Amino acid sequence: MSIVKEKIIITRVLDGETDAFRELVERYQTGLIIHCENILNDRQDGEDMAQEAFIKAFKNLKTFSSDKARFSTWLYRIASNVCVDFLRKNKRIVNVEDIERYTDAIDPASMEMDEIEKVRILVEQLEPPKYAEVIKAYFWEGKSYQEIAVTFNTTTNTIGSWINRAKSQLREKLS
Amino acid sequence: MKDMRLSGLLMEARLENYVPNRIFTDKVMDSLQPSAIFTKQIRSMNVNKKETFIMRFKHLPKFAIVALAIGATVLLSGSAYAIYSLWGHPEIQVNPPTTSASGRQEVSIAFSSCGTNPMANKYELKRGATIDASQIEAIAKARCELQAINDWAIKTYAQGPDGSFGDARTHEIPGVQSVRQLTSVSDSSITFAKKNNKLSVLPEETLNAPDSIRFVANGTDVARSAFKPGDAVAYVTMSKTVKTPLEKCTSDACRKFGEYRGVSRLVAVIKLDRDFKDYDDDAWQSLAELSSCIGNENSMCLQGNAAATSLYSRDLQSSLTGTQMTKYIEGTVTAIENNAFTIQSTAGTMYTIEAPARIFTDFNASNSAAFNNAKVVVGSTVRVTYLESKTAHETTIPNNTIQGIDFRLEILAKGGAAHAY
Repeated sequence: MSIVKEKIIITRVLDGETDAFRELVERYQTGLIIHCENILNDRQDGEDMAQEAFIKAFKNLKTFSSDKARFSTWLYRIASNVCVDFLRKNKRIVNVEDIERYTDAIDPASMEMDEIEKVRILVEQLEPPKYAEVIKAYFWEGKSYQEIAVTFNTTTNTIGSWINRAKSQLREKLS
Repeated sequence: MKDMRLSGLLMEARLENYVPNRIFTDKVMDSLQPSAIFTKQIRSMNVNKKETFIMRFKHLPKFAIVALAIGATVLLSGSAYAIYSLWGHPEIQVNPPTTSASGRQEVSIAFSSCGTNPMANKYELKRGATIDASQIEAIAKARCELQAINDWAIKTYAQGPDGSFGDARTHEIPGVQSVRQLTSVSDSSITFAKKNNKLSVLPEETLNAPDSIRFVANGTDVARSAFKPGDAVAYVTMSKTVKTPLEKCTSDACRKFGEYRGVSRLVAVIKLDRDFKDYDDDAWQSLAELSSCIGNENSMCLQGNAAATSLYSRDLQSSLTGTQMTKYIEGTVTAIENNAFTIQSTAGTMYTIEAPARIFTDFNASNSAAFNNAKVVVGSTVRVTYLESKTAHETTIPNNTIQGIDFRLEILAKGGAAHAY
């Protein structure tokens, strides 16, 4: 989705067309869930907090200024703050610096199109092909390890290790 | 630190045809709707006047009144479409078959409400298939329904693990089991027949079916009495996993676990919409999925339910420049001369491939026996993977850009013999 299209959607939402917000939820939900899952180390909590972040973003949309930041940057910041609040409420360790680094690293605003295109091609070339399938299921379809494990009739640990091996292959080819 | 940049790149690399999790979207949107309604649709009325039934709806927009009227009509008429409350009514539209570039029967299928996994919209009937074109609609509908059920089961029953980090954690994972027919249903148990839709012969299986088990038909909860011997059913079981940390770990970074996968328990039985034979996995395997070739979108490449063996491959990724991309082209071999050969894509374009060696001759002499003596000859289907500038569309593919050449094979059933496609 282009930045211009994003701005149009935001204007429509601010004009009262609530349903237009759906496009933004569809665009960013997988990223936000994985981001929160990584911070909280729990899929379900990650989904709950990603939902919370979208609701917060919707309620505060009038305070968003596209001149100051990309929508994705603003949204990921909200999600990080929601997750930090959750960790604090649940008396769990909060490493704010790490979370800030995650937020910067995962923000689509920091990525080049060429790099994205290269990753897309490399995914298709992962060997064995099941690595490509699990990468697509997790990062593209937004499925949890648990859901993917059911599809492949295996355990979540195995799915985790397939994803790690796939990422190693990708890292090697990107370096 | 976790490699979040690569994760970010992977997420951004998602193609637009990958549909996100609709349930999640709906949950978010449902949370937003009330505030929107209260801000935009403030009802005003004379408090001194008694509100009539009609007045209760006067504030609504016209489309909402029409939707309410349709909803009420559907409810009162008991239409089958109103029944599907747990998942959307799986629907497909199959266009009449045409003859594809390879001489097979080809159909376009539009799928809707088949779960979140995208399905291809073009299929080719393999040669020697056990089904004919008139059966495609039933088989595709059955596949769509199974995907919708699978999604529903995961969304409904998947849950996070119990226990905290550092302790043994119990996790129950849902799984939709293969389609089987019922042999008997009693107040306390349910028995499945031996054969399943993957044509594996399993032992006849009886599972406990207490009152807590859900019975579902037409996408809604029904009474157990609606199920009869002979019905085709899918069923959902929960499989228990117990993870015990193998090392002393008290933080979220704990990663090493011993794992135990326990017995399954039945949670739901779903009566399927169609006859048992329509869910036959081999029938589905008779359809090869086609999709646009990456980099050559006018031509179609075989995608799912298709097989291939590599004739040649090498890694050229390190020489990939920023202006290039990996492209695919697939087609029928029309001529072979020394190392070079030509293929005709489904769009009718001829490509000349300058292969690095006589790869067809080598395969036919040394490896063909392993593939039921299938030989690469004029008429065979071949896929070429190569590097090219993103903006170029050359029809001669030089040797130094070729990453791989695959010989397409046709396998009718899982584990069956391979033939040239």
